[in-house]
Amino acid sequence: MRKLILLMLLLCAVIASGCSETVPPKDDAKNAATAAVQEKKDISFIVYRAASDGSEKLLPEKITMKDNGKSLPENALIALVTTKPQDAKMDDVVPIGTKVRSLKIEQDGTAYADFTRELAKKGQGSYGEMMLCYAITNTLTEFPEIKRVQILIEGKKAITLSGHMDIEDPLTRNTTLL
Amino acid sequence: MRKIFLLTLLACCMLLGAVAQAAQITDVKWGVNKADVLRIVVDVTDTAGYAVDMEGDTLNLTVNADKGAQVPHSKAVKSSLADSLKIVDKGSYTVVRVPLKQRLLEKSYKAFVLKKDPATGRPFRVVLDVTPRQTSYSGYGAATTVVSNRPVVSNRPTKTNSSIKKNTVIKTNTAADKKADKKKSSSKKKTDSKKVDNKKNTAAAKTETTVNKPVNKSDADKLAVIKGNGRFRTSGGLDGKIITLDAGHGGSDPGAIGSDGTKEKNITLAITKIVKEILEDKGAKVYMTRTTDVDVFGPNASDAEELQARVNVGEKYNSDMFVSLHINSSVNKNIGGFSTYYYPKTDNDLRLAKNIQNKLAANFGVDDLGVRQANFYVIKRISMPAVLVEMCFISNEKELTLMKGQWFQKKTARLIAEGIEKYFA
Repeated sequence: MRKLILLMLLLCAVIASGCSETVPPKDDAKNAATAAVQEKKDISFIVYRAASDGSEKLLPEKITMKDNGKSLPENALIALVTTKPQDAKMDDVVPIGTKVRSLKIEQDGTAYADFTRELAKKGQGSYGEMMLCYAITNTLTEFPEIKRVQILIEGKKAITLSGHMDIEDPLTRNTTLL
Repeated sequence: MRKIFLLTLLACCMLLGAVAQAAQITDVKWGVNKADVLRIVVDVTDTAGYAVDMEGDTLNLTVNADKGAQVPHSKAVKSSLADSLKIVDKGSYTVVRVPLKQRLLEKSYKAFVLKKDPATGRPFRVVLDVTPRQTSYSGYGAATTVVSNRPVVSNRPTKTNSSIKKNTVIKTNTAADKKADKKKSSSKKKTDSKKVDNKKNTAAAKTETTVNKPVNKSDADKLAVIKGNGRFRTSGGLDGKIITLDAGHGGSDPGAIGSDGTKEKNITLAITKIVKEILEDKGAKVYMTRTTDVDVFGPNASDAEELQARVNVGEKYNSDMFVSLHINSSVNKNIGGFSTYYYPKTDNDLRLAKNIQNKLAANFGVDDLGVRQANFYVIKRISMPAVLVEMCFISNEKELTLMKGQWFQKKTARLIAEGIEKYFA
């Protein structure tokens, strides 16, 4: 009996210490939504597109598709690159022919998004280049496990896409564009 | 017996709840050390979990404890990193929000806890240290002490030490150097210590050239990075000021192209040349990154080499200011207007952007897209105040017609020069 009580106390202690270390989950609602979606056959996620009024804003577009076994961030990235916006209020800023080569998410929250060379198209203005970089970054950082995004071209770190943006370091979510 | 169990369990749970509730924040303090590192200390009555994350330009320290009633909702801070911090009560936890005035380098903040210290009477503390871009940060080698008080490309902590060894560091010293010295002698001590650091750093970089072979070679590792004296003048009129103008794109890179084949690189060069003339007439010393249709670095340059070559021109001449002129483009043909971009690395970048954009916005009938912050290479990696001006959209038919004409080119150039003059006034 004594042993059991001791065990219980121990258990309590463990739980207590565990609790004090716990960080409050910030995206409860989002996590729950993601989990709920994954249980079903359909999956949905948000991708960010450039506002077509030139206001230098990114607008969210919700995309729902059949679960294909790929991770949500990967599906979101592929959708951003290969689909056109459904709303006339949004522009597709991804250069034609761009494909996603891979997406790796590291434990530290850095996502390595690797694209084909079409993404680094010369002749885009700084406006297009900036919207493109943050459409990618904000779409990926919508997922709580991704904190920053390193854009790769053909597997290698790029300095810039078209001569304005500095993308050598990973980009973090840009909230001023939202 | 069972009942006793349940009772014990209940007691445990209540105790647990009591423990969790007991953790309360009693104070939030801050301090800045000699290296400009901002430290935020959260006093908590009991052990508490914590997390740190960036939300745009705001650094959030989340502490799993209640906010004590005596803790204010906001506090003023005197630091190069932030002017204030907010303490937000989220019910079961508390968030200390630090709106940053500058973009941080990666991993330049860290949080840790300090145990309760009965000897000194100090409570359990959650500590957040934030290192500004200017200083070296922990985990980065001793040989990499940053030289100037502004970001220096070769010392970017995101790269491995090997990258520094491969960088060619060229220290320039001109007559202008001394002139600038005289004008800005407000803190002689600071300048002197900077010089010493500079020597040390260059020496360290040199001695290490023979050591390890580089790992993780990236484009930037091969760059020749020129660093100026790290000083710039921000007032006293245009006369004698050193200004570097950068005509966007050029040579193998046409920049954006209009529907009729008009190339951005040609328009930017034409306007830049006019700006130079006007500024020189008013007594400024003006350098251009290119004066003809060429790649600044030379043929077959990588993106990094080409962009860094432009930065190098500004640094080489110890410029007081760097202005990059571009023409914008968008897939949406309706977008138009002027915008001026800055990167908040000195106290003067935003002021320069405002001075130029205000002139352009007030005197043209096209859209005013305003002053905007951007992560652009040439304005971010150069040490002196810099802006990148986007002079309308080549993708917009109306603006394309405008920008090909002398009237637009001259007027734009004059307004940019006036903005620069106002900045130095």
